[in-house]
Amino acid sequence: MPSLALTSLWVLAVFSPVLLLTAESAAETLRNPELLALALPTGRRLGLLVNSLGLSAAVSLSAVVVGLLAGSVLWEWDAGPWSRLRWLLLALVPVPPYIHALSWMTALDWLGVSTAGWAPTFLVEFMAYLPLGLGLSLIGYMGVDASMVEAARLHRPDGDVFTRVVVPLVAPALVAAGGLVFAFTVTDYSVPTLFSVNVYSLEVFSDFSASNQAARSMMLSVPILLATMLALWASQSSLRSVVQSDASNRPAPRLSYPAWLGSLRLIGLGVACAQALVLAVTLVSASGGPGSVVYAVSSAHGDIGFTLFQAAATAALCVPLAFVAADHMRRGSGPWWLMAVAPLAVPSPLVGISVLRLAGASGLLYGSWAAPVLGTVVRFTPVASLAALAQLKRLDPLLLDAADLFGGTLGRAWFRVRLPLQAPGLAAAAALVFAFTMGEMGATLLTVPPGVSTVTIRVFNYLHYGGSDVVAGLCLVMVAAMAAAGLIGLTAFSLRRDSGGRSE
Amino acid sequence: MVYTSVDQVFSEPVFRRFEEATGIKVKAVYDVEAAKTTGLVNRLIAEKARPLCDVWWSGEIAQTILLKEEGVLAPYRSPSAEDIPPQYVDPDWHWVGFGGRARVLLVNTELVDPGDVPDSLFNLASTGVPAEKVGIAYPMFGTAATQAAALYAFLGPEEARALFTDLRDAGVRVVDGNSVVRDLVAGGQLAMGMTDTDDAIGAIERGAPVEMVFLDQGPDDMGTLIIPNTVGMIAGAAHPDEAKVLLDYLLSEEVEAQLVDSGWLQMPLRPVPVEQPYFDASSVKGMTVSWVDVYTHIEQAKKDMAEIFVR
Repeated sequence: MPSLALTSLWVLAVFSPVLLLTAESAAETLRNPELLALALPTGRRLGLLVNSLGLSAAVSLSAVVVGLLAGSVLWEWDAGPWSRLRWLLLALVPVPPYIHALSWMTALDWLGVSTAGWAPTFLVEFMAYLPLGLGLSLIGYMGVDASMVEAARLHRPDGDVFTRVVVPLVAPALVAAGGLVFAFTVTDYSVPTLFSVNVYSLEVFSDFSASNQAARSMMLSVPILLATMLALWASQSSLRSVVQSDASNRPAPRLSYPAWLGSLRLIGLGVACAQALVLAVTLVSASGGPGSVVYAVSSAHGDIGFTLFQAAATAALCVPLAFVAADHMRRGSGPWWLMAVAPLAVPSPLVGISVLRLAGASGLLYGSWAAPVLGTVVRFTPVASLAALAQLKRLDPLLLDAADLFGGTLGRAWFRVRLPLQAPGLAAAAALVFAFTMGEMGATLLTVPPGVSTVTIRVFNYLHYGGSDVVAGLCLVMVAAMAAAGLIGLTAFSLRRDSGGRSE
Repeated sequence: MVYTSVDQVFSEPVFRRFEEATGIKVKAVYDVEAAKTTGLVNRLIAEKARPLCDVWWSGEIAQTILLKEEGVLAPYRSPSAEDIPPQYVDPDWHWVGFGGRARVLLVNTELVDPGDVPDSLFNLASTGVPAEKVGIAYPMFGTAATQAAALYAFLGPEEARALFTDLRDAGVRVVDGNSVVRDLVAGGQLAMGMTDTDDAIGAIERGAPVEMVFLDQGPDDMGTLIIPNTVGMIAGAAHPDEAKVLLDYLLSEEVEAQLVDSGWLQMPLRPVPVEQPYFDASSVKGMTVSWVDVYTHIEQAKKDMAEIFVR
């Protein structure tokens, strides 16, 4: 069990800023009770909420289904150069959806397809979050005990084995991916507005822009908060209910799929490849060549330096916090789960405002490089916690309990047993946080000290100016850095597959 | 320490020249359009008790008046502002306007016949161009919101609301900002759309088949909105002396000329030795409206615009 001190550190770091804002909002609501009505959308707002929930559900479902299909192909690429190259498809996990959207707008223009309405909005949100669905799906596949699959093959045709054995074993990771994709989609307004589609999160921002009152925005955010927490709760309930152990070092089984399923798997892989190709091709063509990329890098070297610092510091801080959170979640009472994932649903500017308020009130971190790091720690510790948990669930709980009982001191048990066992999950968590932090803007813009900026802020600044070559060049730099971080972390999973669980 | 909503590509060179001229180091935070006006203004309000910033430089005016009302700005009478017309100066010297950009209709000349180009906001969607090929930016954010509030102040809330409701009912496409309007018109996905002069000129300079049209320019028409840049000193600034030096510099004719030359400003508020080549600024008829009235209407206008367009 995590110590009280570590748990307190987790609560303090991740929740104190948001709790302060929540307390201020509650006090404002007590003074002005009609604010409560904002939490219950009616009429136009209810329509927007329904639209947002529908879009988010469709996007998350699609990302899960295609992740499942494409992941089943990548699962088999476990030898030779393909075993590494398959991770490249996942390197785009954290590219901001807005950049995906701009790339797809270009592609749709080439194809003469309309760039307005729900269809392109769905397509782009789906493509933007597909790498996340695919990544978690692949992690789920890699946790499947091949010996169980081989045993099932003795009794049933391969198609049945896939649908009745493999899919249920992968399901927890898939459902977790669905929950995360839902959370990110329902809080995103940037892609829908680009395609002239109105969603509930735009209403929240619009109201914040008009009123400048955080309390109103918090109240308006309640339905999104509840919907996100419900989605994550449902997904995590499923994740808790299936415990697997990656006990086998055997390669992934080569199943003989029926024709219809084989076709669907290839279609899924094709879609996954398309999302990566469209982004890569449009960015490379828009960048105007190596000279433009060099110019983009040289003009933004300070921003690149701070971005790397922020991403590395956030990852370094999130990992131990995720270590604590994941352990609470593994043992799992409801409130721990809700607490661990709730920050995902808080709009990013409100996270920034809450960090400012806390830093200003306490005098700590105020105006320093640490303030934006705290903002991204608040935002992305839940992501790290879920990634760490996905790996933790593959470990034999008896091994963990034995370490706690017989490992000597708490520190000795953790450093000698738990950390080595959980290292792959924590590495993946660090890579995900690193990459998501590089693409963060809403909270960072409100907390970054004067004289300092990030690559993403510069990208959005140039987007307004219209410097598409510089934007593309900077995006390629981000993709490269993210790919490097992602490859390091996610490869740790494949390199350390045999580090956890029972030995044979 | 400066917070600015002016594009980094335009404001950063100004800061660098200031540093060279004075030796005072400028540390800036740059706002982005994608933050939907929830960025630096909210940050300044949140930091009011312990300001990190010394100088605020905005690309528009309504948010600056909001900062004055919130007690974020301190008065400073800059000698550089003595020749700026009084309607662009706060009576209490909490802010000063300089230079300006105008709201303009950007028209794709390959898609729109000259006879179909509207001459007024009131017939924006009623010419031969299909309404779904006409774009406006979400009028809850940025200069599009300022224009909506100005129309509320000039026409009255009822008439202004009716104007926007008519645009919505006609099927005009609402997009994610002035730069998106510019890009869609330049790319041909839209035939024409409302944006700012700096955005429009950017498209022209990149060779897009577009032209600018100023609306409501007839003798009895209301004119187009000209939105000044504004600057102000932060109350409780940690570096007030340096802030005053920077404010004097930003309000100088030299900087106004530099910004006209770089393409950020097109409508200087006083004679400057540089002219932009795209139109005769002196011939553009501006909307006569009180900025305080604009600010007074902006919250209601934003709420109404959300009611009308976000559904």
